[in-house]
Amino acid sequence: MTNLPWRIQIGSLAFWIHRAGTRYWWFMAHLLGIPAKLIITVAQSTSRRRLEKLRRAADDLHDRVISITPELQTLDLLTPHRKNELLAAHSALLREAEQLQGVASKMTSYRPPGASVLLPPMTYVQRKLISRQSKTHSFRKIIARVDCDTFYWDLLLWLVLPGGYSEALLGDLNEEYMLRHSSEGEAGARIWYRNQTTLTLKDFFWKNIERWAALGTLIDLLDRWLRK
Amino acid sequence: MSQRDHLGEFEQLVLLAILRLRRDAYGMTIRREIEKRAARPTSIGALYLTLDRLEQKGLIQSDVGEATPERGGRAKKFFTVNPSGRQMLRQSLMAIGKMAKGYFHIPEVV
Repeated sequence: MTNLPWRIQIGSLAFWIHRAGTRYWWFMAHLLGIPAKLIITVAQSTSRRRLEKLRRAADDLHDRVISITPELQTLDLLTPHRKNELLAAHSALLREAEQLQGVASKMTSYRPPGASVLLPPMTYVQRKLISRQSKTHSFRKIIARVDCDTFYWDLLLWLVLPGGYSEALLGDLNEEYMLRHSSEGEAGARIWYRNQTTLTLKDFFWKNIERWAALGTLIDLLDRWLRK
Repeated sequence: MSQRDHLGEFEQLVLLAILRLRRDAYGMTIRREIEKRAARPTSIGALYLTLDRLEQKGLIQSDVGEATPERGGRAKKFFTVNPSGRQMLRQSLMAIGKMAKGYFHIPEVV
């Protein structure tokens, strides 16, 4: 007989831990959002300034073209000296227009240097938040089967595994548990499930240890290098 | 060939299992296939860590399948081997074949 209120209490505690982690990542996202907003403002104002400069140059060119157009239309009535002057001005204006077109076609939105530095941590935080969201989704399925034999093991795995894994991995474990339940009986299936869960927890725990050890080695190397 | 281009023994087994299972390659079937053919007990956690690593290397790709009641309403994640994965597996198995030549008889598999 399963003690449902107790299971719900444990489930709520696990979800509370998960929610605290999610809030931490939301805080990080907001923290990174401050310099990101600053960078976006700088980028927008720089792009606006560049556009304004280009627009002014285009207006100036237009005014100069307008100023020589009446004379160009009556070119045959002008003195040869003035005619040469006008033709030279006309070709200079055409060159200037080409240059302006070249500048406009190459113009891309301005990317401040800080953007490249900020992009990797922001992507990381975004990935973490997506993973947390997937975990929240996965929790609903665990709590929907609160009376299931494997509830506690599922909850433990859900709490430890990264969000991207929990859905498919728990599904596979449950599917095989059902198969073994019908072929080997409940006791056999439970032992198998417990062993798989323990091994999986060990594997993920070891992976994290390796990651922290690598980070520790890197910090140690940096420290030694700085002390030299 | 860089360090990332080498395949470990378990990675080879996982890639071969996915190739054998064709369209039905997901966590549970891959694990069973390895246990059945290679007689190697495998934990689902170790398998998923390897699948994740292979996916990050770009050797396999995954697609989300249908959710079934026996899986607790959870979707399956199907895996397929990319051409680069096939190529690397072939190279890796050929290297083993060359090293074993004259000492062990290894049937032609690729």
